[in-house]
Amino acid sequence: MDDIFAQIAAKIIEQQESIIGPVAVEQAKQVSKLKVDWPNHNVKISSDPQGAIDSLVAQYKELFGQIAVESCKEAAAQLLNQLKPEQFPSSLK
Amino acid sequence: MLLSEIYGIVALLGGVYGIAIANKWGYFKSYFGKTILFLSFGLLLQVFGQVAYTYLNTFRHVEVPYPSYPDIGFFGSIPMYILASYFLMKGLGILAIIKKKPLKLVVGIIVPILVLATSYWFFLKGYDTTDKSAAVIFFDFAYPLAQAIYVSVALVILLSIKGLLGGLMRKPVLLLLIAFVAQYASDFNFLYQTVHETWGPGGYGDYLYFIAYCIMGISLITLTGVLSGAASSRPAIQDKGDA
Repeated sequence: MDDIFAQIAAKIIEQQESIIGPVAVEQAKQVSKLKVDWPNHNVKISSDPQGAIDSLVAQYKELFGQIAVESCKEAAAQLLNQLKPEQFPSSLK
Repeated sequence: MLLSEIYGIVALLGGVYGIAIANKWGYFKSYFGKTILFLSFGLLLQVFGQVAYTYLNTFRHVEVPYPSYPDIGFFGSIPMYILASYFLMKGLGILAIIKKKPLKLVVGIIVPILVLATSYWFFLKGYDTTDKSAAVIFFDFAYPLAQAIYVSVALVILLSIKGLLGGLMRKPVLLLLIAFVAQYASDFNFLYQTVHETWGPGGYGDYLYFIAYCIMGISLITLTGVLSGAASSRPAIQDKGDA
């Protein structure tokens, strides 16, 4: 299950990287619950997967506001289908 | 007169500065990197246009060198601005926003039509091709129509992001969009004055370009400021997420 959250995080970072470049990865590395090894496109979540995703989305929201939240939702849309609604990170609901 | 000969320096500084900071945004690998680079190329092409215009006007005593070498820069900057505005639109996900909100879709269709219609009305309605070379006819049509594209994109973005764009990028993005509109206003005025044979160095049109270049330069500087702003805001974000 944690793997899906890690994939969601990776998808979000990937999409933000396509928008703002290396800044996106720098921002992701500031989320303490995420371990980002971006040269290998590898993301691990240490604890509280929903909270980790929320923190990541908050990081990008700080840059772009609601527009960032919408693009994070878009990036994660397909993977979110694999979760039950109660498992959704609150920022992506 | 002096301003018309030196304000290109503002565009030169802006263009060079933009290329210098684009690496922080991944150069051509990200939408914002592309926006910054194409905007910078546009500014540098404007510089070429200004230098060529000043040379022909001041040293070769050509009253209005049109169409001529300056148009390589002036006209060449338009596709750069179109690309810059297009990648900004892609980066902000405007197409997705427009698709979700029917009213914004209507705005997205109406705005370009209005801008094109205005350009046509001012510059091309009843256009007489008599005694005009093919180059003059081409530029007379291509300038207003091509410029209408980038300002339309900028206006569509401006109207679509209302209530959605926030955070540290809000100010630089808004400045960038205002810069496109200011550049369009300058170009529009240049064409208008050229058509009515009232354009001359040192006129108010030069001040319009000066203002447009300054806004573009400031938007690039504020984009750099975002990076340090993001760095200083990190602990607060983490606390929020960890709580």
